[in-house]
Amino acid sequence: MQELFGLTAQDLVPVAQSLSLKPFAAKQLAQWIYARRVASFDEMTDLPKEARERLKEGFSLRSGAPVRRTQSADGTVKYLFQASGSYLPNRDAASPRFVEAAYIPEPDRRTLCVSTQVGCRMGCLFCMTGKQGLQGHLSPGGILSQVRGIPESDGLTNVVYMGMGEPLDNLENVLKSLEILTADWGFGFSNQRVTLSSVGLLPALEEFFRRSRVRFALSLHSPFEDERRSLMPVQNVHALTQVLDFLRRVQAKDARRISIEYILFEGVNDSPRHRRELVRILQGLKTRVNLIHYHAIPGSPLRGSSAKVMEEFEEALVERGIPATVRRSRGEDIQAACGLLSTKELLKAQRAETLDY
Amino acid sequence: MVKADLPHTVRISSVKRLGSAFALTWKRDFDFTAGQLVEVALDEGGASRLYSLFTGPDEDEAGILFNLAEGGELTPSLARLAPGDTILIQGPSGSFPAFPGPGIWIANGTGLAPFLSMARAGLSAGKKLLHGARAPDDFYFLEELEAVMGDSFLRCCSRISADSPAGKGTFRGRLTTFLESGSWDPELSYELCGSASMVVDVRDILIAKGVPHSNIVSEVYF
Repeated sequence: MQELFGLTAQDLVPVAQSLSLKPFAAKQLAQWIYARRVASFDEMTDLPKEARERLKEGFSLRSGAPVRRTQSADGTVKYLFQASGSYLPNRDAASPRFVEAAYIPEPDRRTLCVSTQVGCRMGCLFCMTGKQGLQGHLSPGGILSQVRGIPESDGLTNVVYMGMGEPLDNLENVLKSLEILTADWGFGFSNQRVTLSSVGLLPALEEFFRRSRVRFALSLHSPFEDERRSLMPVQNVHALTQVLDFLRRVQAKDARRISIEYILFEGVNDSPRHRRELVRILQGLKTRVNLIHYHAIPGSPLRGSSAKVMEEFEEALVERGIPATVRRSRGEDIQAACGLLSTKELLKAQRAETLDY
Repeated sequence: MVKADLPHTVRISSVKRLGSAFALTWKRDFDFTAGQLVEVALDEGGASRLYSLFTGPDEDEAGILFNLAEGGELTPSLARLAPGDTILIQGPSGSFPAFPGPGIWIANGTGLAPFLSMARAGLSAGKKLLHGARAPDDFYFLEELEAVMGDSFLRCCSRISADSPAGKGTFRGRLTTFLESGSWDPELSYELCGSASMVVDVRDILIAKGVPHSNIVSEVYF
């Protein structure tokens, strides 16, 4: 039974042809699956009855559903999805892994933070997800199941790719999911309502800007390259200066919003020296800096900066002409920081047999 | 020498099986520093991956180590290459510099590559190298590294049979087990290269043993 959820309109053309339908019927199919969100082929009333019968015989509209829901006192809801079968290619259902999505309601928006990989191989010092290593890439259907599968799905206004995994390390699947999310025949989100966040994998970043129109956020976390190297191993491969140079070049011809994500770690990257250097390296880039409170993870040497230090950091950036906002911490009581729940689930199970050291 | 960072075609000199890994070399036509990477593809528009160079910066040949990724887009094809075939190279790029002074290099599998390059560049003085692998065959360049680094080259073999001689300098068990059983100088620098799981596990152990995170630099296979 072939699953259709997660296929783009283009991917659906062979499906339409296999049903002896014209190629344009692929877009009709996509509209039924994503825009009209039907649960059965019988509801696809503008398709011939015979085609609907054949769809029922050989295809499925299944999408993933959460296996656990945890709600914070502040309204944030963390959903745990089991990644298995076709939503996590190359893994079988007997070896389940978990991904998380966080629903964040605010007065003016309702945002879903989605995961793109099970685990992550970027190895950032501050990240719980990284402790799983990379378990697998989510398919477009696996990514979009998080959008479709939660009860708040119909009311979502924004989607951010800031959950588990490095989106640009799963580029093709992420690009397909973005296409489905923003297409008229898809979920119909405005490009301005979708943001992808990355540590800055350069070749993939260039491809992302070529093929998608959604917003971009760079995980920066230290303006000093040597220091960033100890926080984020990617710095050894794709240096921050190169990434920022690329973003400046992009902005010369592309007006989309680029923001900077900066987690403040006590005594590590929150000093006046860091503020000054951050201002210096962001010269020439039209951007906004989101200052993020750190949700400490077990065993980490890092601690979040105090509210006072975060405010001072914000004021210093704004005074020097860099728009900055302290992002309100959400869901700390339910461990909403990405990777905490799923990593605990994974670590309950064995994994030593897969290691080669 | 080709101008750095332009993609260009090179002709393969050798493809050798080394335990579970492969070493692929070509005539060096660019300058690089030990620890740098190149992007490798079979042809333009094809799948590409980044690999650390394992050869020394002054050698005539440049080369990479790679594992066969089951179902992978690139490595099965790389493994089938023969001398005379061509691949596309871009780079060098990145930087994984040796900290000056004494320190510990820690690698698993083909993560050995940048440290081998550094050793060949004469940067191993004061360094200790720990290499973790499943099987004895996966300690590539064993004799060379023993000759260069002597007792400062230690190996951790996680799947060595009980009746096989481990040999001097080889710990029977996982790299992480070895690290957990010892005490580690917080003043030293620690450079890690390998899989994300190894880097994260080893970094956590070192931090738990009092090594400041600022003394640990990692390179992960991307």
